Amino acid sequence: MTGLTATFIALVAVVCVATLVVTWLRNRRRGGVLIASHPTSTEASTLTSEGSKR
Amino acid sequence: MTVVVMRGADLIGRPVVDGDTGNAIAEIRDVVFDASKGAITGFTLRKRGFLGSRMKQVLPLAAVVSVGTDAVMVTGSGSLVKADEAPADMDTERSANVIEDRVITESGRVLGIVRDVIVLGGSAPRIVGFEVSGGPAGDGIVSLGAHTALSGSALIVPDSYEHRMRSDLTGHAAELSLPDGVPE
Repeated sequence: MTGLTATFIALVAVVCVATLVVTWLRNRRRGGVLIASHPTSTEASTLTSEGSKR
Repeated sequence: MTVVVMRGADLIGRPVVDGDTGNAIAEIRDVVFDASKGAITGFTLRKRGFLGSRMKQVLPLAAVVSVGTDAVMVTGSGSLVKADEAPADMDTERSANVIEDRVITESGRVLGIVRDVIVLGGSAPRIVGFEVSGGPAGDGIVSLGAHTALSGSALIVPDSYEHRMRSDLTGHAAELSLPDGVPE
């Protein structure tokens, strides 16, 4: 095996490992609690009047 | 059907189980909710396993039988729908995440950070409050509806709320009119 071939294989291995790590990092992101853009009714997500009553 | 109180963080990663076959077909990734009512409108999903990637399908609430302590139950793998075919009330953006929101009074005083949400499970799951910590008012809970505004960056509460934050779930439950079957 020439030095060039060994270097190529090492490079491919590094790229593969890096891809795996990036994929894992992207997928491990914790989920979130997201506000729906379109509420189920015509009410907006701002509760100014309701909150003020309390 | 039993109704349970849980934290949002407990819900994330929970398996979605097909009640017909018993198979876990996905995991919960994000919870999507209607900020005006607290009603959960659906879930985004990821595949199960170590490298489980985000799924292109989502789970609308209409397909959910129950949100339980250990699994989200659905009937049939057809319960999942493509994201672009999901109901309009599931439209959302990543920037609309309420976790890590700053809790600010109407006069501009920061009370802390939203660490988690309190979820009422069952067949009609909804978010009933926000768990707050890391501020001068100490740890506590802001009931949904007690706030005046909510976005992906801040939860605005009345000035008086600084003294009203509850320090435990029992106090919070007492403030809410929980349906029968909820352990207090």
